[in-house]
Amino acid sequence: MTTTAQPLTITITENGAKHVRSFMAAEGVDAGVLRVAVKGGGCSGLTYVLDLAAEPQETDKVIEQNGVTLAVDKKSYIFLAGTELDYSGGLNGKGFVFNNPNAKKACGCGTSFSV
Amino acid sequence: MPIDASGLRALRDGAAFADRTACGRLRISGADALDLLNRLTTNRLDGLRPGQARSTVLTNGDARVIDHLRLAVIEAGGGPYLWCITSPGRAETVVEWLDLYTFGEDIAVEDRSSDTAQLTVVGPGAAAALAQAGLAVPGLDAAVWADGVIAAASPFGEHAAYDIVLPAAQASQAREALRRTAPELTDEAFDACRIVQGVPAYGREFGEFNNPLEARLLGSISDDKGCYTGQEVIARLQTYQKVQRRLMSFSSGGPAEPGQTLQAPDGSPAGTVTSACRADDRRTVGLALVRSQHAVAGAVLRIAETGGEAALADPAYALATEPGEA
Repeated sequence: MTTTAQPLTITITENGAKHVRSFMAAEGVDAGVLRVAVKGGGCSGLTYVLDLAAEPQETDKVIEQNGVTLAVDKKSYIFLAGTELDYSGGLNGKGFVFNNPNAKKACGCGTSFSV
Repeated sequence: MPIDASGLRALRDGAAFADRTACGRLRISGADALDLLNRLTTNRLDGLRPGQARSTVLTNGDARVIDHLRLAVIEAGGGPYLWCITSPGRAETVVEWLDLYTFGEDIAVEDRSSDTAQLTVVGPGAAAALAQAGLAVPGLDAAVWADGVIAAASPFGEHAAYDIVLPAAQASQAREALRRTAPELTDEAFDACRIVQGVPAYGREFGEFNNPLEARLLGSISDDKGCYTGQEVIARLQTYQKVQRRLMSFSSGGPAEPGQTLQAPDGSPAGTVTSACRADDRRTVGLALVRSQHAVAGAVLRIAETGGEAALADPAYALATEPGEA
């Protein structure tokens, strides 16, 4: 029996995509991309960054799923490969949640991580 | 163990200087440079203006020390940029660390260690020595640039130290000018000055084996700037008073060597000698990382290997830089 390794990518749940579309509508953005990135800093060393943009940059990895287009720069992709972006709402919700298999540690508030 | 006491006489009587070219020197430019360093290090750097200098600690997520950095904002031809002085041998590591945590920011880090030189002037008469040598004299935590030469003042225990950074080609001329006003120290003599003033050094009093609180680098840590790498650990250690060890100075009537164990009166291990020098023929002065419950000025511990006594004191550098201690 042979198995085929699935390529690592970044995925967004239907719930996550629904909230992205909602934020886009609130910003008056008809069509655009959600930039998903990492930046240095935060308690654990790396921080997740989400931003809306009109279009991806030339060297971005582009992922289309659940009606949303994600754009990830090459360096951030190294730290985010395999991540599932979800949304936790409600009174005790955390907002957008990154389920990142690369993250070994996270800070108390969950916005920063280390690999 | 250093036995050259010439530097200690200079510290007491006037001024002396040392060639510190072994330190790393980085030129950091770009619109996002200060913001990135603010996110990665312990001290508040946003808003730092040309002419200002500040110490900060580059830490990892576990609050372990990558290095203790001395930054100066310089405005000279083409816009402001940062000079960053690292510990000896740490320039490459700091450059790699900053590169690892740069994600598209506008920042350029150049390692200028090999084409620049650094002379450091210490002692109560250091400012006068600089002025007599025709060099600019900055105030504490300030930096000045004149004719391609940067002078920055930083805490060095009881008195400020002045780091002169200049093109390597100009080093001989500057050295000669300083020699007319102050003696030149050997590396051992400078280290003795450092130890007497309680200035912690990479690989001895701090490094990736401990956090900046143990090394008493509180003067380089902001407690209200918000998130930075290692902040959660540092805040937790401070809030719950869980700092395991504290850097203390000690003096002893006999010899002491780095690595030796300090024992509490009941014989239990209380600390480790990290640096030591002979202040004169009989007295040894050193630094030690001491377990917090024993790290009390005036306490007397025993050097396990020699049986000698080690009388503890707060390091002059800590007294000068810790908030509320000055």
